[in-house]
Amino acid sequence: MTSESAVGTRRVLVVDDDDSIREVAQMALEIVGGWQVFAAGSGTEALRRARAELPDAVLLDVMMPGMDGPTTFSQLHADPATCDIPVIFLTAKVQAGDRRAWTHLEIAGVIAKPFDPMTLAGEVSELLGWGP
Amino acid sequence: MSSAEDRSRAAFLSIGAQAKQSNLDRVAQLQDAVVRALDGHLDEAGRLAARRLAHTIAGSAGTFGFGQATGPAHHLEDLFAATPARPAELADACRWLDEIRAALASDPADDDY
Repeated sequence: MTSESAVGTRRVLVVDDDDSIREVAQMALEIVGGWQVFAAGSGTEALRRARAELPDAVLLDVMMPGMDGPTTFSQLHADPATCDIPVIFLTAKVQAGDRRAWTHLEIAGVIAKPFDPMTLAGEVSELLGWGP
Repeated sequence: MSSAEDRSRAAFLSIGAQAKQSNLDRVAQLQDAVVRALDGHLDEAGRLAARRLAHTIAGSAGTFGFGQATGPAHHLEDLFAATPARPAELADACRWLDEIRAALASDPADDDY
């Protein structure tokens, strides 16, 4: 799932409970990155979409009502169908203590909010080692 | 600027206008939470909801060109992360809310798109 898709287009799942952030991230990755993007507004929806779409990567908000990002990640990681999908935390919560709390999670990286929509695809590519 | 960037910019501005209104609504809800906290009537669920509202503003406003709102929103998030919220900092909360409102009332920074 981490290699380039057979059709050559990256497929990414964006998960955020904030509609505007979800929409702008989706648009940025589609228009600037040229990727196929799926969106989910909650951890529960993210699990369902990840299992259905098997994306190449997941951008996952940390602080969401209901199932938060780390819990969603743990469930993705525990499922053989989705355990190999790299997950990037997309969050405004990036203090040193928070990063330490995530060290036991095998996440692919963290992108801080606020983010620049024009460079988001580049940041994701860099974290995942996706070439231009 | 390429065609893709032109389309992105127009789309981002449209979403940004929606985000600005959503963040103003969140500020109003935070104001209520601050008032309840000052009166000693903010329960645990209300505190957690206020923390999440401030966190959302911190992440959202700067993404849409209102970066001056990010700092005071983080201060409010830290304030409502404490149990209970500290009275001295609650006094600062009204100023932070004013700073967020002022930032949202300004034109979005153009270089964010």
